[in-house]
Amino acid sequence: MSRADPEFDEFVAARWPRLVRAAVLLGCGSHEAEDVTQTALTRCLVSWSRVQRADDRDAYVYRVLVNTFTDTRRRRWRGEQPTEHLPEVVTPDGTRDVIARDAVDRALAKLSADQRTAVVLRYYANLTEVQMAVALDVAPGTVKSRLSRALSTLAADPDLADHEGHACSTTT
Amino acid sequence: MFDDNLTDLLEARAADVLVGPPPLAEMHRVAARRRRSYGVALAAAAAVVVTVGAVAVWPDGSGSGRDDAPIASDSPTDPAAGDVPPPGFRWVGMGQAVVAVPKSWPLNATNCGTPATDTVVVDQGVVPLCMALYPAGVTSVEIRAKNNMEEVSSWTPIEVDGEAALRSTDQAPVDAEPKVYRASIYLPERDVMFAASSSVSQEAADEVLTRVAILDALVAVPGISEANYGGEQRKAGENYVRTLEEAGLTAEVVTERHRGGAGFVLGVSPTPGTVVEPGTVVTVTVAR
Repeated sequence: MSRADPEFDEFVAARWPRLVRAAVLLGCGSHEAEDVTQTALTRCLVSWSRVQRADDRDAYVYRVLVNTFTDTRRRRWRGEQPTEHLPEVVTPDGTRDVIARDAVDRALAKLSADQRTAVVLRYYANLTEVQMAVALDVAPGTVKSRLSRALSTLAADPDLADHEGHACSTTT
Repeated sequence: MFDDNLTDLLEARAADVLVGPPPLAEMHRVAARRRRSYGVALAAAAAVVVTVGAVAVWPDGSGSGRDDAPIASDSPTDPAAGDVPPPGFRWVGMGQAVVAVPKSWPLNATNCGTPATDTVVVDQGVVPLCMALYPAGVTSVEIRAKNNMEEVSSWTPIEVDGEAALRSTDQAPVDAEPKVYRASIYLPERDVMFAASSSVSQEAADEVLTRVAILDALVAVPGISEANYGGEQRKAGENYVRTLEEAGLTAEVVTERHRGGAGFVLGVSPTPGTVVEPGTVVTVTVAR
């Protein structure tokens, strides 16, 4: 085991659930999210000294996660053919939580990839706009404009509006 | 405020996701295997010369035409995504040994071989014989093989991304006006020297070297000087194509009438030192 390993293990133990869930919010299925997060963290481990040198480790790791997710989607565009018939849609079980979850998924799906990533990094990963600029390798102004456009879209989403109060009441 | 609720909505959505324990053992196993295999994979990669329209076919120096070049973007565990330079920087290097330099730094902005402004110097080729002083307020880094004059045995052993390296110790500033401060890192396994200079301060030269790295998958376009001046000139193009193939890159050769000797490599695109994905097509212009 190299000197970096205990530090890496500690880092992963602290962040694994949140990174996996961030991958889900970016658009992964739950199993795919674990695969994407595992791939991203393995990349970080291979070059752990680069992570150690980074001014902001969390921003760096989220950057690798977003790149890994983007690569996955790029391969999917190239390699997967659309099916003639859509798979049968799973019927919601009728609980309000499931409906709320689907509403969030549908609302996020209406955003562009860049806007969705910005929303997840800001409002779930809790990165500052400066950290987001590092994670996305864009100017802080670009971060602001992506967030602004994303929030306008989400605020106008009727499904999401129905569940805002519910989400708050379950977490406060 | 809507954005206040957005965090709650996302938290509630994410809380539904059941997450298993992190597969730490698997991550360590894959990382260890990848660290061992990259150099081997790149050395084994052979490229196929592409011909389009008026582009000439160059003989495949390897003779194998293998098609198993490690195209990083198609790999299910694409390592290239880890090769991310800091924001506002780009990689420049030799092979997979690179340094991140500000995007604003031009390549080879030199005067008689001496940096004229902040710049990264790679594969300069023939330098005109004239004397140019290092200007004030400039910081630069040169990437090259170690020259015979450099004695590195007393340098401090360090590690760069897990690889043994040597760091210069107490390089006295060049006694000129302005003073030029120096610092270097040498990677003996690859024979790559990163020689930073700065007329600003010692710290400025040292700071450049904090961004030396060994990439996982991406690779720098090789220099042309060795092919042009290191052997028979008429075979320079052929030799350079072989060098490209050994680096896992694909050569596309264009010939151009030139008064100099046939076979000379007139230029390549992307320029030497540019970091690209394995399999990238490099256009080589050869004199005929």
